[in-house]
Amino acid sequence: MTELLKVEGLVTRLRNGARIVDDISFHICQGETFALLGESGCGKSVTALSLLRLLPDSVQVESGAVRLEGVDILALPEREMREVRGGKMAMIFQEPGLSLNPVMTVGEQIAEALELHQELHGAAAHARCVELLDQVGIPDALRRLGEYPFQLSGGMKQRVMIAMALAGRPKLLVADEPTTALDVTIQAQVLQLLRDTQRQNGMALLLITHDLGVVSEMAHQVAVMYAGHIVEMAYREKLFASPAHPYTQKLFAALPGTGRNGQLLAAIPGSVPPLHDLPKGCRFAPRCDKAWELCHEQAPGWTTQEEGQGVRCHLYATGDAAASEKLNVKSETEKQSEALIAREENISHFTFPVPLLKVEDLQVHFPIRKGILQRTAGYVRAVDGVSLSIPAGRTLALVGESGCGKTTVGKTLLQLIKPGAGSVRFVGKELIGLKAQELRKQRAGMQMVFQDPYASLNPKMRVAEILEEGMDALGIANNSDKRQRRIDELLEQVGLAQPVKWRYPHEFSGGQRQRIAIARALAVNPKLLICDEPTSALDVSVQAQILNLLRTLQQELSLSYLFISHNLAVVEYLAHEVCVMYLGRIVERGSVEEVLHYARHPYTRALLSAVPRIDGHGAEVVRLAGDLPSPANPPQGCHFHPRCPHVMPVCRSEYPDATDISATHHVHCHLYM
Amino acid sequence: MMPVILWTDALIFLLIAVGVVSVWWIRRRPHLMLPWQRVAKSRVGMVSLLVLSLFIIVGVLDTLHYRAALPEKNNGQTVYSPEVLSVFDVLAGGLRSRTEKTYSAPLAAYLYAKESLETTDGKVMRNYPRLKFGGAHLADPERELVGDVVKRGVVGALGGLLVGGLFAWLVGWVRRSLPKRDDSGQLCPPYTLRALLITALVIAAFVGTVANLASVYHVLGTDKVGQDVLYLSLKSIRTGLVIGTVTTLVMLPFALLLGVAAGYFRGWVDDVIQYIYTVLSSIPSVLLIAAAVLMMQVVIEKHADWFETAAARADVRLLCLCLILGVTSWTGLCRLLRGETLKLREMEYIQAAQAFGVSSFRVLTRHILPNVMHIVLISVVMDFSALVLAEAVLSYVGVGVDPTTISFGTMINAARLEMGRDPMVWWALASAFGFMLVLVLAANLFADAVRDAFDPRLNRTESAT
Repeated sequence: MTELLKVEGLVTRLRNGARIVDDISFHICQGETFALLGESGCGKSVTALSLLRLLPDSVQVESGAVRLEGVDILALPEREMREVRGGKMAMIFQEPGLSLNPVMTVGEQIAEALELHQELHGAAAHARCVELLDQVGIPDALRRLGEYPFQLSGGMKQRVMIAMALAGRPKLLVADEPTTALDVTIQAQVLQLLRDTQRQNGMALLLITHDLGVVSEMAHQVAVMYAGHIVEMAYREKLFASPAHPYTQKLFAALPGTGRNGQLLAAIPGSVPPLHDLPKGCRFAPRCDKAWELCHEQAPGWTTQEEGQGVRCHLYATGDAAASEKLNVKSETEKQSEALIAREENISHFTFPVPLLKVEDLQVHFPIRKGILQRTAGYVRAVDGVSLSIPAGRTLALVGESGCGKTTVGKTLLQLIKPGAGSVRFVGKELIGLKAQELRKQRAGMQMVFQDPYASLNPKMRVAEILEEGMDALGIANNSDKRQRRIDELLEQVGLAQPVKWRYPHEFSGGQRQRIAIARALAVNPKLLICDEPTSALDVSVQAQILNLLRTLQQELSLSYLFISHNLAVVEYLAHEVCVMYLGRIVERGSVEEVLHYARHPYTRALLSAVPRIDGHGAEVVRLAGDLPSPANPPQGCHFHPRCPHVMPVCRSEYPDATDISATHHVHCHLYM
Repeated sequence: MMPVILWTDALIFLLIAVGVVSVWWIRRRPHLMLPWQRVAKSRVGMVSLLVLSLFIIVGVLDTLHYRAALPEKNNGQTVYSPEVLSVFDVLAGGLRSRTEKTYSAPLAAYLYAKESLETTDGKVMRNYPRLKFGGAHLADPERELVGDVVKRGVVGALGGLLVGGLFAWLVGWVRRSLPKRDDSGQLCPPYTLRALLITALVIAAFVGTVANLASVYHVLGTDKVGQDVLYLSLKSIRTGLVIGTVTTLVMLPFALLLGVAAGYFRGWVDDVIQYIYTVLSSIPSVLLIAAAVLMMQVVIEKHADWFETAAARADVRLLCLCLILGVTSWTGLCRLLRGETLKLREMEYIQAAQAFGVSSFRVLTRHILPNVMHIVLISVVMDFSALVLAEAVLSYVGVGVDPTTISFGTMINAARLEMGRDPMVWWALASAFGFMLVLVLAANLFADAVRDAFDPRLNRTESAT
């Protein structure tokens, strides 16, 4: 295959000195997909922006060469560079909602690219627009051309972005986390689209992602980045079969997934080092359990191994006796998780007769108001008759795509949103309709951990004040000595050092912030924690730390969790029971085993098959067409029928009742009536 | 001598007392001290604070009012002069009393207008007469003026530098003799001190020059009725500060309370508050203020017996103007705060607090207020200059401060007419402009430094223990 893009010794740095991308080299062949894999802050996006010369003013390329079809791009004058951008190299960004201009129609935006690079105007451009939209799988392309971005869903917007990128017939498409902001079923559609277009046009794809699953589905070659370096590069099969660098190995181990139930995840301690404070030797050494003195003193060089696998690690430098010894060290986590399993077995025998939380037929309808008089014109049925029950010490996972109402359920249980109807019984006491005073007494029992650790801590309060707030409001540990002791205790429980309590939240990384948020919830001794996607904003290695922490806390304090998530792997790791939600209703419920391995509902199956798996063999491939309908106007009959591959006439007219598959496994589907 | 405490004086004293108490309160709490220590480290912040404090000193000196005892007695009782003076008037006594006939240019020895003069031989000719006070000591101003001004200026500067240097040495000596603290305990790092020292010396030299020249000249000229413009400018500082701070104090509770409440509670509370400020801001503000001021004027004039002195009446009028300005100018900030609160209330930390059952009042004060303070600080300082200008506009319309009150507004208003004549009389406007510029700029820079120091996101590295 011909080499399309060749990057050699690229160094990109902040103007004040810190190197964001430090001496990376790779090449991409025609028709190939090259994946750059790494956690946030590793320099992946900056690499992509360097290639397109779109760096912000404070960052500049210092040295290195980028050759596209033999032409050194870095030396081109800006005029010619504009031809390259979009013409030979195009880019799609992470946030489809932010990368389209909201005041221009879709057609105008695509036509703009066509005019620049293909010199198409008027009717010709219009025809090509329709063709492009067809190509990216947007139904009714002619009508969509005249629509504005706000009229499209997230997945549609990303398709339009791809269409715009394809308008210039680029040789190389740079995709920066193209599916991170999308739901799994939509992600599967977009990835499929990228694969199809690649096959048709023979273009190369530089895929930037943090998701091992996406890499395993898409990539031919993979480069793993860590703190500005490429630490390992290999063909996909080779990398997934035998990752060489300790960091890559850890990334795989940190991923929750099948066959790991009951074990602790191999979290990588700490987080990616900040750019201005890089370690002297190997950049991964402080977090590596195989590191020895040499790693801390000297940066490792690039070692090439068989089958084109290259790695930047002292372990593989030839002729080092210490290295080969270290290769076979058993890691700490493996020992710890053995202990955990032993403990967990003790607990799991115990049965719980009375549910801690029992929710029946919960409904939350938000009125849609129209006109000057604010008359109610309809309702958004965010939650439409949800029933749950959570026993003490267990975890119930609520799974669904964004917009299905799972977060609303969580907030309604806490009475942050007023429910329309239904009952919420917590330890046998009805919460709905309680007076504010009495409700406050019940508040301590149930607490919430939020999704975004950057938004969930008040930036103007110190950690101690944050932790104190709940105790203060609920009158727990009333004297100040006791309270300080309790704060120290809480910080220790979540694995933070005691001096941090006088700091402000911004001084912490995402993972540490999430620990503080958990400590805040624990401060009032709750029995039930509602975790709303607590790890979706975190990197894989940090996610593993938080999941381990949640698990350990559950055992120590016999907490119950309502775990709200869209990530099935995480659910599989943590949950005992699973409820799958679609458009405000639960469509399938059962134990983890039943729902995730013997799924019955077509939606659950589609969800499971849409998740990219690193082992490469998902269940049968079920691809869902279309988007989640609006809960303001749900489809007649079964809500899922417009997207369902097994749709029957009865589905269009009647909502299916629950069918019992087993004592614990229930499904709402006409297929099993 | 009888001390007189006017209404605005009382408010200023109250403000000073609150300031002193909060300094004492903060000094005892290390985590509250921390941001102020960061302010102390910022060069721009400290230099602007120095400049600002000069203005404040002048303003405070001008706030200590009294009535002098008259020499004659009435039935054994001391009789006091009806004129209310301030400590500042005493210190700047010469400036106040040396009034000329009419306009004279800065540092001039002649009047700015020709008059018919009778020469020694009895002929009448039109020429520029000599000033009564400005440059009166010179025998032949046309020849000696420049030399004398330069000489006096340099002597004054040197004197100022000497005094400033002595003072700096004294400060250094006190610092050295204090028990040595470690670096972190030091209030000001050396580079800030150096900047402060240089500024202080420059100011000292400048003040020395002006003071020395002012004893025999009108440094900034005189106005239509021959009053020294320098004196007018210095007197205006107090009025400016009063209008800026008191109005802000009146406005803040409205803007803060209503803005934050509207944003947080939404629903009918929001509707009501929005209607109020939409209505209020859609009435032309000058009209609204003019109506209120005129009504107030009528009340004051009807009850002349309420006030012992003219100064007391002028002062109440000033206070009322502040109140009226305050009540009508909160809408802008209120709208800003409502928007910001709308954004903040959706933040997850607010929901976390609600999940704890924290009362709305506490959520407002602990979570929302601290997170909107930067907006308040910036817009208050910005409003400060707008308020001083508003006063000028109102004085122009004739509904501003009492005509006897000296303010930037009345100065600008008077100068406005003079800009139109030929040759132009520029100095009154220029000095009002210059003083306001320095005052507002210093306040702006200081507020900027404070805002930066209080933003935890900009100060990552340090923390109190």
